[in-house]
Amino acid sequence: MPACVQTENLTKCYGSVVAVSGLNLSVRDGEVFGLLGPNGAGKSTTLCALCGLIRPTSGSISLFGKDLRRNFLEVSARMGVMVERPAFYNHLSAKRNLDLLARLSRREITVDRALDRVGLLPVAGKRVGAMSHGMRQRLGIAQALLTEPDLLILDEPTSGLDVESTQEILRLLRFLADEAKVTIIVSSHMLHEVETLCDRVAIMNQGRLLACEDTDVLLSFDTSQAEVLVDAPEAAAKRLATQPWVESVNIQPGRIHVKLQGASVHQLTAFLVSAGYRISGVIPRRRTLQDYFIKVLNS
Amino acid sequence: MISPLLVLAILGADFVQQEFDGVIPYEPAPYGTPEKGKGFRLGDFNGDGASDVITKDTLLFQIDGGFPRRGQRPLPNFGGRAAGDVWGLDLYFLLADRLEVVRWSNDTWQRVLSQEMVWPRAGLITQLSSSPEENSISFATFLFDLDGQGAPEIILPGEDGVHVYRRKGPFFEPAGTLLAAVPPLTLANADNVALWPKERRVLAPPTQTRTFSFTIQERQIRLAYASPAPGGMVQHRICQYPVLTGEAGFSLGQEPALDVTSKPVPPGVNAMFLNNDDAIDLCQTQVTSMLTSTVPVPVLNVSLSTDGGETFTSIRSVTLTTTPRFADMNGDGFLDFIGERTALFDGGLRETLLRAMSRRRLEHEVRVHLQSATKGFSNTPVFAHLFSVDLDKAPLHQSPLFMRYTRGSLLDTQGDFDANGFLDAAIQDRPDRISVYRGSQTGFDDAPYATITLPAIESFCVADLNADGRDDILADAPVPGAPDRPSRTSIYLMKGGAQ
Amino acid sequence: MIPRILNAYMVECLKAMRARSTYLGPVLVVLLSMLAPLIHPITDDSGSAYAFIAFTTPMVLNLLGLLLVLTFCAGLVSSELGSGTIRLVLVRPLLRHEFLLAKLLLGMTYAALLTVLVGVSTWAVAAIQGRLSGVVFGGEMLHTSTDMVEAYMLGALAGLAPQFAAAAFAVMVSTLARSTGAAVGAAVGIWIVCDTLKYPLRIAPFLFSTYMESPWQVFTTYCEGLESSWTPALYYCLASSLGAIALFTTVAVVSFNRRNIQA
Repeated sequence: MPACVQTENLTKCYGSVVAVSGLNLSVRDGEVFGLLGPNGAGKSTTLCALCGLIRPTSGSISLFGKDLRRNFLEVSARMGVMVERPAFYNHLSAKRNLDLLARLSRREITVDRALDRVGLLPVAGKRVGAMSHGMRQRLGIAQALLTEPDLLILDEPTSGLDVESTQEILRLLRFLADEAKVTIIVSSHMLHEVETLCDRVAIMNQGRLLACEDTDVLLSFDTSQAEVLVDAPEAAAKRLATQPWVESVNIQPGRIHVKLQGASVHQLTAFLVSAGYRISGVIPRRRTLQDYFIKVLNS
Repeated sequence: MISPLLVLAILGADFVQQEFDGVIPYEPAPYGTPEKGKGFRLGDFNGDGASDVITKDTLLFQIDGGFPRRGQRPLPNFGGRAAGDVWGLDLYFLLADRLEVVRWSNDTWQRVLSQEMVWPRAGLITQLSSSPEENSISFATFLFDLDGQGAPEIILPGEDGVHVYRRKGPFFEPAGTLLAAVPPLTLANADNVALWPKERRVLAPPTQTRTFSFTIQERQIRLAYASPAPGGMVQHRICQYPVLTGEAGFSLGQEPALDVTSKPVPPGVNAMFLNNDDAIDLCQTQVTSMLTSTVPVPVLNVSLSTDGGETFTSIRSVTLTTTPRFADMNGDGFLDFIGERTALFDGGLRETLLRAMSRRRLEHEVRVHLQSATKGFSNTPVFAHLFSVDLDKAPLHQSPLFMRYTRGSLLDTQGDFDANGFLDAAIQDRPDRISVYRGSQTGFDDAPYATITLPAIESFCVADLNADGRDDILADAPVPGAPDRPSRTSIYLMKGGAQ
Repeated sequence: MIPRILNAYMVECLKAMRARSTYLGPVLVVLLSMLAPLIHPITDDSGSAYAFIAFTTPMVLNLLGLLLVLTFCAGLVSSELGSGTIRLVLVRPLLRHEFLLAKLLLGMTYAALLTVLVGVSTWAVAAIQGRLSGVVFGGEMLHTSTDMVEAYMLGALAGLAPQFAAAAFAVMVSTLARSTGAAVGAAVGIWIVCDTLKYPLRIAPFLFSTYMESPWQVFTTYCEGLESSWTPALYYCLASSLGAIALFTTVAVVSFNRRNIQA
């Protein structure tokens, strides 16, 4: 699949502080790409650089296969951006704000459609200064969607939204990716949102890219761990602890959590059955993004 | 050895500073007049053919083309205020009650004549009598040769006419009063008289006054005076009579050689002699503020007429000086008007305030309006020159230099330093420098012709001290290292340069 | 490029027209022009009405107007930087220098608007209260009403040059500052410092601020019955103003292009 966004050795320094260091990133066409990292990891700097708000110290950025700096006009016309806290002209209404931005984009744009998508059409005439944080956040997404872009760059798009709105926005973004084939790059602290939304996730820390994996891979079953629903958990645990292929056993009410070392879940099940225990269920443990995130950061 | 003066002549013009170390108490020429420096007179007092300088207390002999200290002699003390005039080798001094005539001879002052006199109580004599205890000498013009005999007559105005005294034997005696020439008496302005209301009633005895000026040339006396005209206006009149000489004395011819009257003009319009024709020249000066400015920008409005008030030329300029300046710039016998414009107020309120607060250098434009026989004064300047004056402080500080700038005494346009027939401009363009710009038919040169540098020049004037046809400069400046001593006058004699 | 600049300029105009603060300046200058007869009464004398115009126009434009232009223009970019709205604009298909030029055009439009408003209001007041039938001095018609209108129009037109330069200066400061307050303070402060020091430092002849009122000199001196010439002051004014506009715009574009837009 061709890369929609490609960075090569992207570096941004502020004096002696290195905000992003040698970042090589490749975002495929039509995928939803998540950018994760603790505060100060360089996520926002990376996103700002991707949309041309920040001049990289070195390295290159290409969007849609074209160099960003040399083809900014062409590239930016296909891009929708919401970076950091969205700010608007507070004295103007939501619709007027989008009208002005639409004029700058010089494309035939239906402002109402963008407002409708984020559920703001009923309050389109309301002054932005009088809107809640959540509404402004949705308006931020609306302005990014305004030009029906091929690439969406969103920095914490659901920050400050209630649960229902968050779900709506996530559904919308997923819809855009699936149906309109829009490439989306999001950064977020909400790991479960990223899990839900993203096709691929990159983790950054201290300006460096630590890992980049498909979400499917990250969230697959972990066959080295299992929960066993057994009739005598304590006895079973004692028995298992003596086995060399068992790394650790934790007893919980009505069940045991077993961590295996070189053995499979089938082997574990067979052992317990042969030992006379009555097993009502064996559940292989599923990986979480949080596990992966912590693991990557710790490594 | 090559003479330094020859070197100067080859290289160009320059001033030669004299080694004179004393004080020449000169007076700069009154602003607005075409006169050169006053307070001293030139004359050959020792008969060596070189022009000497006499000031109000010192006689400076010219020796070897200069005025060295060894040629300095004090004037005699007459014990009162005296007005001096020069005739040949003799110095005449009028005192309130007598006449003194002295001559330099045998290296001392010899008294030629000392005579008790009863002078008419008017004009010059009134001034001499005002503070008789004061011991000082000033210069005036009262000696004329009315009869063409070569000996001077003393001419003094009086209440009843112009009095003439002539020499008979060793003494002077009255030789007639030229009665017909004087204008009629008029009631003096009675501003302090009030009849009503009764409690404020002030009665003053009626006084009469007669104001006139006169000049004597080629045995003719010319009087100018103003008389009231209807509508609160005044009419200026010039009468010129031949002076007849007889045994009994002098008298005026019956028929005036000239009798011209101006049109009725407003009282502020003054008669002047701006050319040699017979028509009355008039000049009115008004200082107003610019209507359009937020700061009071002074505008000098000078209305000039050379045809007795038939037509006027109005020349307006933004300047701090309030008196018009006249000079015969091109030597054609017609006095030209020297307009001035200060750039202090250029650029509006903000720039004026900024300039006044923080700028030492001021642009000053000199605009020459030539007078011609047929067209009078040109309405627009025939040529103009922008000088740059470096004041020692910003105008807001009102430094002495700035105050002199406001009086117009940083500029002198009376000197012809290169003797080319066109007057040059001498301008003190720095606290310590006077620059001379050569004048020509087309204007002043862009670069100075010669400069004088002297620490903290306090005043200067222009005069041809050595009578070589080139004007020289007298400049006052403090004596270096001696702030308590009075300022020293330095003489700068013009030498060299092309004619 | 030009269509994009004009498009951005239109957007900027629409934004400004929707802001109440934009109208403060025009209202103030019109009010001051209308009230100016209290300071400079118009009489029935010939030339009095012109003198009123010559007094009021430079005073309002170069004291209050200048301050308004500096304040307005200093806030043009800095306000967007401070509020973060610039991030909305700079990710659109618009180059930074185009955005900046649109802002500069808006600032110049504002300056021109003030000039027009002052002109219209002062002439209206003068026409109502006085006579605009030429300048007569000593019974002689020195300048006809047509001469006066021409001198005023030319003065107003030339007077836009230093106003535009002031706008360019303020926009430049605006691109360097982090907030509107800092930009306005810096623009006015730098202006005052430069004006105060320009004579002692002998840089006054090169600064356009020295010639702010030069274009009005001819009209003013016509009113006074004085001789006046458009040259050389007008040349200095135009040259220094155009030079300043070029310099300030270049500095603004270069610095703005290099600037990182991040909260």
